[in-house]
Amino acid sequence: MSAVPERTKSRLMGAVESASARRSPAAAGAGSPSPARMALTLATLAMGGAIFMASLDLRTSIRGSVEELYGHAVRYDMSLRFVEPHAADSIVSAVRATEGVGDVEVWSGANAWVKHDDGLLGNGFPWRGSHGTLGCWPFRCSRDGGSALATYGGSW
Amino acid sequence: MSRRLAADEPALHPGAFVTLVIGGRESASEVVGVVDMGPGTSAFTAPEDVTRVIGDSRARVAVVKSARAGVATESDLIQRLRRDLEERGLAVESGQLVRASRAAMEDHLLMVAGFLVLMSQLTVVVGGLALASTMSLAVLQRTREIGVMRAIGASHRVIGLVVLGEGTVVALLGRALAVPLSVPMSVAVARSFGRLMLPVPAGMAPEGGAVLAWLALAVVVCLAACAWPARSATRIPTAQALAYE
Repeated sequence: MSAVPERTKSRLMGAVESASARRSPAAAGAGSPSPARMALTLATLAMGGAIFMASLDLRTSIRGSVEELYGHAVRYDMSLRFVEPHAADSIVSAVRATEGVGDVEVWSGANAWVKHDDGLLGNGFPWRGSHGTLGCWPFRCSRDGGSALATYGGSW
Repeated sequence: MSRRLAADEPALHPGAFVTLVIGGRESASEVVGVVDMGPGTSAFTAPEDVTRVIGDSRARVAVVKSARAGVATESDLIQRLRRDLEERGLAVESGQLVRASRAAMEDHLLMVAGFLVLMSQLTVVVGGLALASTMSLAVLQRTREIGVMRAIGASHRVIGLVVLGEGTVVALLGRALAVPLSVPMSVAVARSFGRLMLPVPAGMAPEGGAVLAWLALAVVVCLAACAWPARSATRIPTAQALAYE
């Protein structure tokens, strides 16, 4: 280990003593960042983190809602729309003839509009009659707890 | 009828008697119930009613359940079905896998959430810059203290760790504040999203994965923000630091 020259050592110790003795604003507490600056930094970090976690929560919520829409409520795997309408029985028998088909349900119908009291029509929606036994819809919700639609599933 | 239709048409509620216009003719109907049946708006009735109202019992739509689950199996089945039905004289206009429509819908909605994630990451970067600025100022204000520490034998590593430690405390405090703050923010975001796009359940507690992801991000931001101030603190000559006013 090399020896520190005596002159350097005395200068160093003098500087240390001088630094310790001085009570300049920097030495008297201004060494820490100001509370206002620290509060702003904390607020920015907290806000960024909160938005980050809220956005990840939203992603989870979206996945949950899509699962709710499709996972439980939709009980078929694919839909086919024909160029021309056909007899329901002929569609059912033709589809069943293909290997790998588990079940099939056929929908007849037309577009419908609600006529409001003021005579205006609402938005159009498909109005359908279901032929088949697939029982695509679980009908978990209905009037008075489900009694009105409970018999659905091929025997309306 | 579907829940989505009930949401679109408040007049359609269970027990309501309504007039529907179908094929240009009016038909009286009673709403007997509301069901969860996917994202579409539609109403179902007995097939005999359809025949009576529109005078046609024929159908144009078939929904099929595969005997075996799986993307490849379903894709193969829908292709074979289209081919077989064409051969039997039943021309198919369009066919769609539920799995595909679900993925399309989910991707569309997640894209919106993705923008929010991106914006939040930008906010975290701004927070990191603020932390770097604060720590740089702290190092400058503590120049003489750093000089004293070095004079009494503190190594570069120790001085660097002091700066990093302080930055870490600030970052962890920010994280601790962010967790409770995220709850009302999640509720507000979910409600806004539900009004514009699709009703989603509002998170009443921070999700575990999100909290851990934020912890990891906070540590990375803290290290990045404190690296330069810590390096600066170790490079101040001792004599200059002690003489700093």
